[in-house]
Amino acid sequence: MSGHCQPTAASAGVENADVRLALVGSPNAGKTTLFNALTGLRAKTGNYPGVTVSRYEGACEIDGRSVVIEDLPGSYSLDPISPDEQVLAEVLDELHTDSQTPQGLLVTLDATTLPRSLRMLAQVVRTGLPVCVVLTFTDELTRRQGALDESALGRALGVPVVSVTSGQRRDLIALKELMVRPESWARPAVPPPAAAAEVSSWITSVLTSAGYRLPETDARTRRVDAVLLHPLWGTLVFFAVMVAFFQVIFTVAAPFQSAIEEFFAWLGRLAGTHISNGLVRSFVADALLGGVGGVLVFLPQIVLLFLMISLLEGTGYMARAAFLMDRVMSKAGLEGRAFVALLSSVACAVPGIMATRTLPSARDRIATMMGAPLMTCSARLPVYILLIGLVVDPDAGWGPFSAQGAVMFGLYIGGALSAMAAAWVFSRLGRSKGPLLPFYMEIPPYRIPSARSVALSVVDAAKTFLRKVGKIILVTTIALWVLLNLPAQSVADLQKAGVDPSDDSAVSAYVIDHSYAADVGHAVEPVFEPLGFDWRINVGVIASLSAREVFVATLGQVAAAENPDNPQTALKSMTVADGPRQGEPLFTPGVVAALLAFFLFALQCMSTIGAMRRESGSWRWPAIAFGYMFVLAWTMAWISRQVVEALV
Amino acid sequence: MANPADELTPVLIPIHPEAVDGDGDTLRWAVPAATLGLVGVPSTVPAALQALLDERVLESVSIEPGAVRTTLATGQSWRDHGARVRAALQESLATPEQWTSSGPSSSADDLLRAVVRQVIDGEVGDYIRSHGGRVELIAVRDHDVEVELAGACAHCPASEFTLTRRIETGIRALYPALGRVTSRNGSEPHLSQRVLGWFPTRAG
Amino acid sequence: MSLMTMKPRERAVASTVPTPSPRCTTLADLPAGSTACILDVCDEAQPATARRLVDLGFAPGAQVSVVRRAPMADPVIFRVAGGELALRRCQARCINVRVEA
Repeated sequence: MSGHCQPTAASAGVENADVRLALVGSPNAGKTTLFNALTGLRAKTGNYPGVTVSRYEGACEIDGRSVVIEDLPGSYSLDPISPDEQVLAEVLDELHTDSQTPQGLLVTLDATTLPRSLRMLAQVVRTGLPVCVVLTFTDELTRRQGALDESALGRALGVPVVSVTSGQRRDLIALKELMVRPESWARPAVPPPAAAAEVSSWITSVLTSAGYRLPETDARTRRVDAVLLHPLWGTLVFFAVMVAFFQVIFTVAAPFQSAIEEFFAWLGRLAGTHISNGLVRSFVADALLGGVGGVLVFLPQIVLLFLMISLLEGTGYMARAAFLMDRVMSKAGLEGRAFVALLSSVACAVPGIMATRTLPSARDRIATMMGAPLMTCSARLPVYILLIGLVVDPDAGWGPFSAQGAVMFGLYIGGALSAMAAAWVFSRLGRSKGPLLPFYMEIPPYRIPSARSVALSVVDAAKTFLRKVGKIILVTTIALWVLLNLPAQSVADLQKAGVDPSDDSAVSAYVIDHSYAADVGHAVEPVFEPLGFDWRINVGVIASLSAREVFVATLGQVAAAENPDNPQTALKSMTVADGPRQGEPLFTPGVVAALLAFFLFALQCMSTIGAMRRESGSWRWPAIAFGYMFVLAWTMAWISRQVVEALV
Repeated sequence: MANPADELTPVLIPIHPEAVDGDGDTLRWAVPAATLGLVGVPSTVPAALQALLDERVLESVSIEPGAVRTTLATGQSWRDHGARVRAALQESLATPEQWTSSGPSSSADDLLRAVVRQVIDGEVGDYIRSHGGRVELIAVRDHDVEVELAGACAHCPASEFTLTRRIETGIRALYPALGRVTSRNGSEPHLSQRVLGWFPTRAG
Repeated sequence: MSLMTMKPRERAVASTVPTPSPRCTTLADLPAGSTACILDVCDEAQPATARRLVDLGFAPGAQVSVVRRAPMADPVIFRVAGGELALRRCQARCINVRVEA
């Protein structure tokens, strides 16, 4: 497997490890906390080949020997019913040669729910690999009046048992001593049984011998749940939490984002004053600095999103929110946990797509990813404002509701509904490829998340975004710059064409008009002609591939060439440049409606495509998303134009 | 993984195997207390288990309070036969009346005596011995047990009470029909000594 | 229904629930706060689903209690095998139980 994964320098070192272990356990059993405690920030993330399953691997050194630990996807069973669990089953299967089988397995068992976790342990021990049990939450077991004799449990299971209280470094000493020599771990002479009834018998007997007493229901959790899961109060708190959540990604991130934008604009101006060659200046200022700035501008949103997600997950509220929203989300074929991803997409689809990581099923992750870009993200706002301003009278309205606001609201609702519909379709399509996954979700007791885990998850998300997504955004920004700015126009060319070389906006308009992008704009005219777009809108649409708000700037530049003093009026009075409608007004209500619909449905965002590539592990899903959304956008734009033109 | 049809089978008697130190051929299968009303080597066992003895897979089967020990015949391995032994034992435990013993140790008192000895030799006894005490079985009669506490602990009435409770809990776990556990002091001290015993003494 | 299809079904029911009584129901029909003992998990929809439910602790013989329902009555939180789990009613319907209290 390592041969297929990300060929980083570090993974080459990982190959030469003295000991290779894997962490197995159910979700919420403290597996990731233990992984972080053992490996810290040295973890490498990647994807398992061909599936939407993140792969975490980290190294640590114990007594001069290097130990590599792989954090396997959390699961309640080795009997795979999803791609995530398939990965787990394949890694543990010695006969499966694609994956490197670990020399030993560390199985985390939540001491407060042993009757359930021993079922999974029975399956893990049956693989025949050396197993070491790591008990977690033993402090919580004692606090809630439970009891367990750890040495008797080890005797009954026939494997080593150590307990690790979350976040306690000194607890790790005993575990680390065991970790360097998995070959010496005790193994049971007779492995646990396989048949369900025999497993039940085995579990009861083992727990009796280990003096296990189930903990009392957590009184604190019960009191909090009485409010947070109450039909009325719970729903109110849920909406309050979600509004706060949304506000944080939308408004708290905004000043940071504009600071980053201003900083890069300043750098661009600085470059402008120091570079004399116009083309190089434009490349450095627009392509390089613009690209890097375009990547970094997402960072505040991603950091805040993952800060909040890991807080909600760590405290246990995420499971409750999903529980409350499950009925609504099930209408879209999704489960409650997808709500957070879709909500985040209203700020920006990039953090929204990254938030799909919290979904346990790969099919739900894909379905949510396919729907998320349809939510009205903040980058669509300037485009909508510009286009609505072109055709809807700002004074029109009904009482306190302005017509412009109503159109805007309709676009938001349209985005949300189409996102749900798309997710529904994709979860349906996914369903034909395998059995319907049962919905089940653990409702953990409320816990205080460790600051270390929260920090690590934020840092991990930021690192992944900058490394993987950032590269894609930077490359596409440079490619678009090339399309829009080449071939280079010399001063002589400009003067010949009657353009004043000292007038920057006139020059840039002329350059765009004669760029490769313009050629492409002309070339795709037959495709967009039925929508009423001329080649100038096409150039704007192509330019907006880097980010939707670029459409506004590009159209602005084109319009500025015609009337530099008042681009807005110039836009309104623009006429169709060529073709059968030549001379007629360009931005008729029909064309604007078509453009709005096009921007609502088209996947015109390289950053989203990059995030999708990263999170789904291949180019397949971004390609499908781009394709289906383009077809949908074209069709809806055409319908909108016909409907509006019939009405007006 | 289980055939879904298994879900229809009735709930089985809880058992699990534990290794026996220094004897890889013997497994100690923990079974619920009082499943079998006898101890020692049974003279007859149910057919499923007898088949394993006949086929020379198992060398011997013996019963102790709360457990059944199975020993492999020479040349056999748990890897090959572990699952079969488990299934045979599970099946045999469902018919406790088919386990019989013709030997002398077949009465309920003998079973109780074995339980008490196991408790005294086990963790509870270890605890008492580690505190300089001593515990001995005096008699069992109609589910009642009498033990003698001696040594350091015997002088303190409070510890006498806690220790008796501990022994009682240990026995009851393996012999649910237990009646009363009474204890007497090995060397009945004088009242003055008993009072003095409550205070720390200089001499060890 | 033909005799051929009747027979195996009758046998299956007979082997599962020896004495059908009003106290036998499915997990989906239990009121909040009640406790029951799991009889079996039927694999009507998917054998994989039935196996997973058993792996989650909904095994025959296990004690299960209904903790609470979501605002629109679905999903439902159950307490089983020491932990709390939310299931949708359509899955809870696959689990046959005998009411205890």
